[in-house]
Amino acid sequence: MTDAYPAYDATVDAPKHHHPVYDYDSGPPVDRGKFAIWVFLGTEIMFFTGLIGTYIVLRAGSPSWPNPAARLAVDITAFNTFVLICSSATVVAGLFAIQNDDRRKFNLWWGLSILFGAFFVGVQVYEYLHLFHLDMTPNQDLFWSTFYVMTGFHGAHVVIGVVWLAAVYVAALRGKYSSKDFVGLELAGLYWHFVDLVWVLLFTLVYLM
Amino acid sequence: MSDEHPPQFSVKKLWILLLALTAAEVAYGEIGNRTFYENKLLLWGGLLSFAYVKGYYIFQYFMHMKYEGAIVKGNVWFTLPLVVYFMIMLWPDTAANDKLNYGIGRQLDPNDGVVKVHLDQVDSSRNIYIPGEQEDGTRPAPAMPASEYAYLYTADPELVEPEPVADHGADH
Repeated sequence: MTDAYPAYDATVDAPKHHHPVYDYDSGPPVDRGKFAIWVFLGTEIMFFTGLIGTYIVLRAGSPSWPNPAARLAVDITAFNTFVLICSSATVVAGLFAIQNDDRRKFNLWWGLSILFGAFFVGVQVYEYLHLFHLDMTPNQDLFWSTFYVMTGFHGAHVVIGVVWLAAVYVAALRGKYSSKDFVGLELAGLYWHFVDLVWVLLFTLVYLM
Repeated sequence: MSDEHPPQFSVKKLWILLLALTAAEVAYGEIGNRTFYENKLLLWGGLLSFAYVKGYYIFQYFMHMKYEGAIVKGNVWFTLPLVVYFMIMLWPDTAANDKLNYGIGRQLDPNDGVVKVHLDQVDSSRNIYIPGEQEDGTRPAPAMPASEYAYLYTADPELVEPEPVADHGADH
């Protein structure tokens, strides 16, 4: 007697995905990564608002405040600000290059961005070491405590940004990104521009005002 | 995946503009600090205007917000009223500072910005000078070198100029 029916194969009916598959896009009409990074950047805005707001209250409430130009090397930091703005421009240039499938230009611009970012961190470390050598430590007064808190947290963001830029750079060198898929680069770029934007404000508030 | 390329703009032009604005801002700050340092409205207003314009271009072009749709824009703009709310909530601390017995930052010397209060006599939770009261109700002079005496801006004359004690500096 032969089998009238073939043996049941459970894999035939097994779902191919763990998640339900719809015949329509159930998410918002925007890339999920971009949506997520902007939600994250919204929280970052509030984070730096807290720091800057506290700085304004402490400064405005103080009977006196030293002139930053007398305590800080404004010229060096102004050059560092130039460098950070340059890095933002090279990130955009790199993104445009990958959108045009120009890998040679992408490698150049994105690599420069990482170098500029690392340079910025290096100058900030040098500045901190120099200030510490002069006993300009955070416990000296409100000027220094607010200075270190704001520039320190921003510096940590720059370090994270450099690592992020480097990580996507390695992935790009391995051929992950192209003119059809560059969202990963775009997200890293958005974070980097945000760090640049915050520094524009901090430089004005802490070093110039 | 990004199937449609967002519009591209001239990075070079924006880069030059931002560098020029930064140079102008630094020059304005340098000149302002030397010539019209006391006119805070002019000095700070000008500097913040430079920062705003630079931030605007970075936000709109580098961060591509100009070309985003309502969902991404809505994600960011909701923070604006929160920022305003936060500042309004903080404002009384600044506005009422002169009504506090020991306002914020009262340990700063207005001449050189150096801390004159010894740290172990500062209530760190309130950032104020606590001289300590003895059983007979008198306040002793702080046990620190005369050069580090508290320099306070307060209506209480006992706290303004504590009597120096000659040998206490050596114990410290």
